[in-house]
Amino acid sequence: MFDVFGSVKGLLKIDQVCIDNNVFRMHYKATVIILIAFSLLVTSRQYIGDPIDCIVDEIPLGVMDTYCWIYSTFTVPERLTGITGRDVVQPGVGSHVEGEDEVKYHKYYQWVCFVLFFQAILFYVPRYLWKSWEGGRLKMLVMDLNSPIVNDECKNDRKKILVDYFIGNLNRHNFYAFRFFVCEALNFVNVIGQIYFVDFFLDGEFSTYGSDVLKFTELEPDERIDPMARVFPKVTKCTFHKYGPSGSVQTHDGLCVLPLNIVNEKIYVFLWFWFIILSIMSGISLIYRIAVVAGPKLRHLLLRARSRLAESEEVELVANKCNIGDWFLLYQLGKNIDPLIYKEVISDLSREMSGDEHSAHKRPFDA
Amino acid sequence: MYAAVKPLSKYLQFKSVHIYDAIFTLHSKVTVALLLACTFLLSSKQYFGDPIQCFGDKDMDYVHAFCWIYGAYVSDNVTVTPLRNGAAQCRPDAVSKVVPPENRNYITYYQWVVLVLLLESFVFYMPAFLWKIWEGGRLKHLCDDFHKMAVCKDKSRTHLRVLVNYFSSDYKETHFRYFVSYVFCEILNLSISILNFLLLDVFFGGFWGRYRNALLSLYNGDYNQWNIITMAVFPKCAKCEMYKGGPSGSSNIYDYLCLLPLNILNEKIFAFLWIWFILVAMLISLKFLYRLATVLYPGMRLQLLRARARFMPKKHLQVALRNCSFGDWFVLMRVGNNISPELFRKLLEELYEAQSLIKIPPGADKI
Repeated sequence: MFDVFGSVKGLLKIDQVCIDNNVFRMHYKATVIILIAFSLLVTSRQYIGDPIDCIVDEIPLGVMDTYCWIYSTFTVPERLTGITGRDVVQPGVGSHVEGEDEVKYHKYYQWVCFVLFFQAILFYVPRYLWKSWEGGRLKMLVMDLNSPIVNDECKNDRKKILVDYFIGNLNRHNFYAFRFFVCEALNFVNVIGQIYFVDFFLDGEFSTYGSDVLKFTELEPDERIDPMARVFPKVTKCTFHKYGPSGSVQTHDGLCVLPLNIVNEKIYVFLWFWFIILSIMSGISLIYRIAVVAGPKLRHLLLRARSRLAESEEVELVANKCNIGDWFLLYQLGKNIDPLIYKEVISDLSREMSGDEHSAHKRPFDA
Repeated sequence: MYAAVKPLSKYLQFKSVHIYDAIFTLHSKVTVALLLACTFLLSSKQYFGDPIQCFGDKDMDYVHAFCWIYGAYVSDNVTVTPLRNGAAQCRPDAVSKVVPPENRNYITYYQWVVLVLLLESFVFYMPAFLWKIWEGGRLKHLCDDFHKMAVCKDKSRTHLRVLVNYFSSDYKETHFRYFVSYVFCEILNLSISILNFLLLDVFFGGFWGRYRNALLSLYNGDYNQWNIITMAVFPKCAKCEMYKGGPSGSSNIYDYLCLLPLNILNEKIFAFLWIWFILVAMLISLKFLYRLATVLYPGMRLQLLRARARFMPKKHLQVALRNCSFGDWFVLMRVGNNISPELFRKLLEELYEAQSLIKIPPGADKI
């Protein structure tokens, strides 16, 4: 087991400098790891065995397995209810007339591992974009100030550089911040899009899958149809045709077991809840973001919460001088710098800003 | 899957200095990563089993090898009537009973798909490799320190001075060569894209036209049409014929039904590659037009530089670039892409100051 998931360990590494926030991390860290772990679980034959095993008379089993694997197997929806062993062989598997009874093909079975992996990549895209747009700016600014033990000389040096940078580049970070907001919006769009994508992949079964499973547990045993058996049947039918000895077409009726579906059905129940939670969280973080962009008052409060050690007048002065981009960078910096040093940075910044009132206003326009 | 694809991510990692622009990266590096991932999927038996499985009685190892190298065939004039639910079945009557030799369509490319993809990935990587050699780390020398020191005032100032010195001195010859080799790599990219169109068209016999229809039908939700077209290009079921001498001297004909499981992956891979190749070819030709425009219109070069330098006064820029040749402009643009806009503006301002001190030799101002 450890061998299978050993390769995921590399993903767990935490960056020294945090360039985003926790909701963002849920997307590119937690979700990516979960999806890749699932994809590995589905592909590891050693726990579940061959992905398909069929029984049929007179056909070599290797050929039959391959045939049923590439031409998908099917179930008969009318045979979903009934007592197993008396009315039907298994839920969804029973007698049917070819061409007349409605059958449901399960075409997604062999693609689950690829789709999970593809989804993992999609969840990483906003992070990749943000990483490339960010270009290491925050890391450059933080330098070694995130550790509380720095010698004084070095600390003052770095602090001065930081304050100089902020004074010199005031009002020039809007683009930086808006790119982050775009990535956050992209995260939200991604989750919603993925719910639709999985729904399309599972032939429209995913959107209500989780709630169906919940409902199923509350129903009377004899009238219920197991949604997990409907979407991910473990035993299915498969029909093979070939010419018989006298030259007319023979139909060979096969019975296949799809062991991986016991994993798949659980994976998708989990993913249903996970995606719902994730989309709600990203929605909330988007609303928070809109509030931050719209309300300077809120920005001020947040900055004060971030720099609890600093004097509140100083924080207010800084917050009033900063526009949204500067505020965002300053706020992110607060996450990464040691609180005591951050307090000093804020007070230095407020001193520079109040002293520099006139020249600071002119700065963006002159050379 | 994850373990195998992970090494490919190194193609997509960020370098501190970007020597390729975005479209170049997309055309060469991302395409290579994609092609290699496809190659890996096709060549691993783990997901789809043996590449060929034939249905017969005995000596199956021999039959498999024989049908693999001599090519299974399908009839070229069979029209498959698709089933109601869109699943195309491998019925022997759909494959047709007896196919005269002139109507046999041998699937000769099936065993070469992996090798062709591998070859393509080498070819697509070539321009990136050539440019890496010819570039010789010049840009890294020019910009790398800025990445580490961008906030540190005095260090960035000394480095800025070095850059100003560099751009004031006469490197026209070298820069011209630099520019020409980059343009050569871009042309190489473009011609590889075009060559790739031709290659795939010859290899799969009318690939582009057929797959256009297939994708259109997929877009319209018409899965039957998609099945019919992809079955013609990538049949999953084929016939194979083998002769063996009989006891009395005339030869016996042995007839086999063969399954080609990899084709369910092939049909999807090439649907994706169809879109990707066309997208990339479009982008690279747009890039080429852009390059042509910058060569033809000096005014546009000036504007591009100005946009990069946060709209410095036009007069100043003209003076700064008075002595600037075509190649110089290109190198300056590349440097501008790799350092922050504030720094770049500072660099141009210093260039302006350096230039305005020099007396203008008559007839030398041509950008």
